[in-house]
Amino acid sequence: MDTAISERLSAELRVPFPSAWEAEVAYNSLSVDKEPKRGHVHRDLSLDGNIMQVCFQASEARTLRVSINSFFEHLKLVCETIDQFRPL
Amino acid sequence: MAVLQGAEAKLYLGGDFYGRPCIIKERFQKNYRHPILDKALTSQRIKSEVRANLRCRIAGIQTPTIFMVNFDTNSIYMEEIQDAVTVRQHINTVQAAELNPASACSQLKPLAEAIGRTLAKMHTSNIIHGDLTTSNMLLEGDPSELSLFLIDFGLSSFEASAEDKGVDLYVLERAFLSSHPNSQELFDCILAAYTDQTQDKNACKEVISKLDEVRLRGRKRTMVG
Amino acid sequence: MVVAIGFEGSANKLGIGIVKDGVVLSNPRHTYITPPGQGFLPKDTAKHHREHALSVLKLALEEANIKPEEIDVVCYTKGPGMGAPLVSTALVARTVAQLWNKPIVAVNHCIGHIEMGRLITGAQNPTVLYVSGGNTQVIAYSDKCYRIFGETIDIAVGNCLDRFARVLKLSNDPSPGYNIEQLAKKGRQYLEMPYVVKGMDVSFSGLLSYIEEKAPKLIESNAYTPEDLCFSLQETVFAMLIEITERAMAHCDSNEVLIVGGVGCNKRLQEMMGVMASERGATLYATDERFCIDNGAMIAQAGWEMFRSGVVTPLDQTTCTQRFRTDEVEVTWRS
Repeated sequence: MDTAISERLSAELRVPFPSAWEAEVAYNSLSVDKEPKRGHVHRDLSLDGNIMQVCFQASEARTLRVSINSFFEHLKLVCETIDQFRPL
Repeated sequence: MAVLQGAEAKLYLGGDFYGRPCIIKERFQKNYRHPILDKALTSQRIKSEVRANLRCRIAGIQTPTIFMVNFDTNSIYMEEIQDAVTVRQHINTVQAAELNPASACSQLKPLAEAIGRTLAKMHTSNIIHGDLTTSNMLLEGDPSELSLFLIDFGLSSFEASAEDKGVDLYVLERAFLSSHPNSQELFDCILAAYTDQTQDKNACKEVISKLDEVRLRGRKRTMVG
Repeated sequence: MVVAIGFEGSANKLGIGIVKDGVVLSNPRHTYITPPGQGFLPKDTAKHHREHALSVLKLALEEANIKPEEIDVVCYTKGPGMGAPLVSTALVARTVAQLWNKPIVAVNHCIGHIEMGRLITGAQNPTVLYVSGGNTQVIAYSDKCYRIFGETIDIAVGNCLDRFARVLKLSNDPSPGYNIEQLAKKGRQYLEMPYVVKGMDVSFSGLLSYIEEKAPKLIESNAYTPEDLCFSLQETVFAMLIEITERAMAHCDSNEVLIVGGVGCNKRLQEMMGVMASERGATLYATDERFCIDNGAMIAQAGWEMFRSGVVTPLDQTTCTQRFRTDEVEVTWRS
């Protein structure tokens, strides 16, 4: 796809957590790493109460898919960590 | 006879070779390495040392005169440069006496330029030293007279490539910066004089760009494990 | 009393260790092993780490008999290493640090090796030979910095050995280097090959191309056995490493030498270094595979030193980096 096209591909995710606290933990863990430069994908994370919102923008479907996949892999790891190691 | 032990050779000082002050550099066996490898390296390094020493003199660079080689004892008999200090000692002395780093640097600038000019001559003759450090450079007599000798050519080779010359300068830069804190400016003086003195500007440019490339190999390498 | 937990995942080992004031309480590790002839790729390695991080973490806490609330600081490997595996490991560290409300310290992997080596061996101020799949450096401490005196100007020694193991299709279990070491013990005939030392630096890429090209022919013609070639390769590359280490020791006037990193558990390398050290009246310090090979306790130990000297990494700065030089870190914990 032509990168000069001003209309970019985008995807939005809304990830609900049991509480705002868990959403914040996940947000803090996931927002540290920047998207790799070579992928030209822009990723925006934000919090709305117990919902984490993620917005992806990319110029190619392939790089968008790679970014979303990788995000889900990381999200899954963070959620499992929260589940298994939260304070009792 | 005083004996100094280096990493790969013993130096017997204060000898006499038909009336001339002489040191004997005896490469000893390295028991950690395989005997075949040890023999090969020792004889290769003696030959390299003698060859590069001679080639440097032809190029107008001061080196100790070699009197004799004894391959049975792996020894080189050579002129003892009397009343000399290593460049390393000299830089340390100046830096210790001069607390202001900027004025130490300006005092040492003429020396850095002399080193740069000498290395330019050496590389123009396609001699690669292989182990350039400030310990392998001597100043004879009053250090301010800049009577510079190069020594220790055991790792030397005879190569025309910009890569080998670039690596040679890189080895010096590393040795320089690790032995002398705050000495980047001095090394830059060496490079400036080197560039200035080298007649073939294109070849010199290539050497400097190889130096930059080799620096990046270290800095940019991703290191896994 | 300070208890530190360390997360390491910069290459194909996922390790989590707990250290309490210089005592290793636990140090479990899980290694990603690829089929013979294959190296490990970042994507698959990261997947391995994600799959094993939580079970290894559970094990680390159980073996140490430590509750999360007893931990004082969470340490993780910032780099150098492979990007994706580093990030996967760091994610777990960041998350537990928040869950348990603990500060984080970002640790340089190479410094982890050095500090672990010093802790285990008691070496005070050694010249360090750091040899692994990704690193080949001769390091000495001076003036708040671990300075690199010599290093490879192309590939790492462990990479050279691993790639030769791939030529011979040796197993990657437990590691290609270990299997080369075992074969080398049976080697008799020495083959001369390129030996490249430049000052205190070494180069292995020419040697690797040489042996990669020659090996199949030499083996096929029965001139040399695979055992002979493993033996010759080890003898040559290790001699190069010992030579530059000795040169650095002479340069720094040092009488201690410490070997760290995955290649550092090779017994022949240790033996050769021991001969060199004893001939110059120096002492050799080396560790075994528990601590030489990448592990979590080494990150905990370096992080513990840093934390005690006042270093803390704010959560939003707990990034990872593939390139992170040993000499970039200010060594605040040594005088």
